[in-house]
Amino acid sequence: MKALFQKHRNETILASIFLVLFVFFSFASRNFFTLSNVMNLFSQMVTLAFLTLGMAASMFSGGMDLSIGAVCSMCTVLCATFVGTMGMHTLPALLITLAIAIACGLFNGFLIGYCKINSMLVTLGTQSLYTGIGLVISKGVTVSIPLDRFALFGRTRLFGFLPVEILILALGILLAVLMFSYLIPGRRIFLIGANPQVARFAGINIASNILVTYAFCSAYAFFGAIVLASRVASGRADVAAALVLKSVSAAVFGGVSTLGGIGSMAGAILGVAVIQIVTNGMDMMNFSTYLQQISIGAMLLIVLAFRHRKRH
Amino acid sequence: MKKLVAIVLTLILALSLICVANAEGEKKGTIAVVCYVTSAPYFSFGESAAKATGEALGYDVIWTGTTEVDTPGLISIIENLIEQKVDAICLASGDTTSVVPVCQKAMEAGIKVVTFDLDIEPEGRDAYAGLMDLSELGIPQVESIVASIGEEGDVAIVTGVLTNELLQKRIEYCEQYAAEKYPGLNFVTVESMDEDAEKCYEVAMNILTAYPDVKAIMSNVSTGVGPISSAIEDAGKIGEVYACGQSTPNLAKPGMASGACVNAVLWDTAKWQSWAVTIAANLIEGVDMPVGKLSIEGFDEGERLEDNIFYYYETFTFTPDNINDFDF
Repeated sequence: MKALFQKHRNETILASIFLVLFVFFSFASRNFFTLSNVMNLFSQMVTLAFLTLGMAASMFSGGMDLSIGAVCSMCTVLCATFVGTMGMHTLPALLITLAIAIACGLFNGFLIGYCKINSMLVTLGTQSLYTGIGLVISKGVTVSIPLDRFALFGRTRLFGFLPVEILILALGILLAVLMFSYLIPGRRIFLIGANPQVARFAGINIASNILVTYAFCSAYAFFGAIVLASRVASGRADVAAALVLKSVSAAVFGGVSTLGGIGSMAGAILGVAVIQIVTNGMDMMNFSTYLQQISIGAMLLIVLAFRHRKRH
Repeated sequence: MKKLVAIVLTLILALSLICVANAEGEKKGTIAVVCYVTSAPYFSFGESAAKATGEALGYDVIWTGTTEVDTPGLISIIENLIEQKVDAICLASGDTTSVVPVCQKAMEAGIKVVTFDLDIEPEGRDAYAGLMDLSELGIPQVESIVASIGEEGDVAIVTGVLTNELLQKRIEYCEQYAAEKYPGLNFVTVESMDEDAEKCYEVAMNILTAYPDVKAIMSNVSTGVGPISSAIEDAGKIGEVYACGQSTPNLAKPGMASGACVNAVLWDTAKWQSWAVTIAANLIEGVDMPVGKLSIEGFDEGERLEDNIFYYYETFTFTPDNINDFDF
């Protein structure tokens, strides 16, 4: 048990913070501990969680995918255009959008892995490119989806209480944890992030693995996008722009190092969960959004300082 | 000892938070005012007015929203307000469609939804508390151009976020109105400042370089005239080019003092939120508001149109002579 705790110390601490906050808000606000609010809490974190998982993957490899929000926004525009404007069936619309999202990721990966350009520079550029494509497709306006279509991914509750997007996220987490904690391709990405020279000596093809990493980021941006497009019944070229920095904060809060090679998908998701419970709980207590930002910022700094002290 | 102090302090803080959260007021109910960019003065000026109006009508007012354009965040806030069982939500959204599903959810929960600033699709709200028709909102901005440079000349438009539908519609109506009434006005470009004053200054500088014949730069958002005036001043073009269009009076004052701006327009953004709160309170209480002129205290021109649209018609024109009479 002790060995397990030591191995997953970061995740255990984050899970404990989440539980303490859960109990605290349950007592502090009579509206917090209700079935519908708890379901809300989890469904509200889904898009950010997908982007954070993608962001964490890029950070494991020693980079950072700043275009993840633009890809997500562009995917909402594509879904809305295919389903809403063109009246296409949902499945082909999703497959085409996924293919385009992965192509965006591969393009990022190609420039970073094969052309060896800094990931932040590449994704800053492609962020603008993908936002521009979204703006051109949408003509700068919000593209709506009829309310009776595309409801499955963000507005449907199984058995009357369980949001489908929570199940989608659970699958996404499972896949990400499996890949980055137990499968060789994921472990290779960690090694590339921790020490690219050692990875090269170990015979790992760095460029092709970077390609896979950024394709993974964009695929997860796509999953975030379908949930978001369903929740808002529309697509807009900048709808997820505000989530990019939040995803970096959540990943760092969850223990993912910006220097690469350190962290876990479980930690990243717990980072999202803690930030989301603070937001939801403080909303329930009618605290202003300014105070929420101060609280989240302070919490982030305290955890980072604590972690820094432990590592040195 | 230190640990003990820390624990005690934490407990005190927790208990005080609990007390604050559970404090019950003797009010008729709660109205939430939700804005999509709470950090913009355009909206934040209205916080105290909305709260004071709610207080006067016997309601608690929760004034909240996202600090930047963040649609998923805005939707989460509305969902959390539904969980809090507020009685009404007054909402300023950045677009007309994305909040419709969550607003319908609120209406299903028995919450009155009143939109202001930009209206949303009618199926997502009970009422729209507006200032006047969107087409008419473009008129004072065009009149501001004419008051600055006359009926002829090249004009550039600086707008906020490109995807904001209210801003897009307002530009469309400005161009339509000008084409009909002042065909000598020639709109040469529309540039975006992304609600960023520094970017607005740079955009204005670029316009002054790229369009040397431009005579006016019209701001389509309330935060543009200040930086545009600074750019005109720094480019040494005072008297040749004028900043005009929409502005809060405080942001227009430096330009009015330097001569870079001689006319700007706006409505009282705070009063608009009071209007939304008033309509929300009336809907909660089931006050009869028939189509036609309304008798609502503080809103002499108030009127109800078809489709649950309420207007109160009130705009201000700022000039160097009256600018110091305003402070918001």
